[in-house]
Amino acid sequence: MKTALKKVRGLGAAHNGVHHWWLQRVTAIALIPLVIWFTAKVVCTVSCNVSIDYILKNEFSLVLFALTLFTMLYHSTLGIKVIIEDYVHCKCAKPGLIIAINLIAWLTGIFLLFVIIKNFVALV
Amino acid sequence: MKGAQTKARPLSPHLTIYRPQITSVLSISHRASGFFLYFGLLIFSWFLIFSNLDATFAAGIVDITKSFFASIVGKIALFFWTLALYYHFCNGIRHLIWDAGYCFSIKSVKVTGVTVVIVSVALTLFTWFNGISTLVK
Repeated sequence: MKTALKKVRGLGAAHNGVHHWWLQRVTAIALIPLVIWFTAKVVCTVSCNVSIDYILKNEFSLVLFALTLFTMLYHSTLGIKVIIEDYVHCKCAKPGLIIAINLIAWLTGIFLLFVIIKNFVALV
Repeated sequence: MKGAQTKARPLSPHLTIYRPQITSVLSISHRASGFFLYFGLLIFSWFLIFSNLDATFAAGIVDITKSFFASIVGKIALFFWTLALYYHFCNGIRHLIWDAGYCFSIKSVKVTGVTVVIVSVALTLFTWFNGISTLVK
């Protein structure tokens, strides 16, 4: 059954099939409850009269905060990649920008991981 | 011949000749808000990183951020980040509904579009009257 058609149906022009499209949706679904939690937390900060630091000073909040940030970072990097692919046609700038956004995501993500670890260690 | 034909031919879609419609405006707004939010996320992340991990910069970074968000420019920026977040959130759910195969008729596309705008503006105003404005005072 390994016909050319099957190959195209399976992987398509980007050679990784619907992987990117699918992960964009999965992260979008994950972000629905996470964004509700995060914005509710920020709005509640003032009306419930607690400090915004509370997010970093509570184990449960810290884990949800980490999930929110990392999912956002991943979702937005996928989205920016699509924008670059659609609007940048220069053969140098397109791969260059895509590499750049991936490096920025890794750099930001690793640093954020240490922010989370530092705050978590301070709690236990 | 092929070269001469393909050179400088107009690209579809011909955006400049279309009258803006709620469908097209909301579609490009989804992209624009996502693009804007990406930079917001990076700024927020690097604020967290410097204020948590770098003792020499920590106090300075917090001071600069506080004075920025206390200024009118900072408040306007934060207002639009709030709006962009709520809009991208609501319109993202609209996109997921389409992905699931529902609400494709012209009428429901328009109705859900108007709903998204109303809800995101309402949530933004609610947020600003209930917290953020005092948070950045």
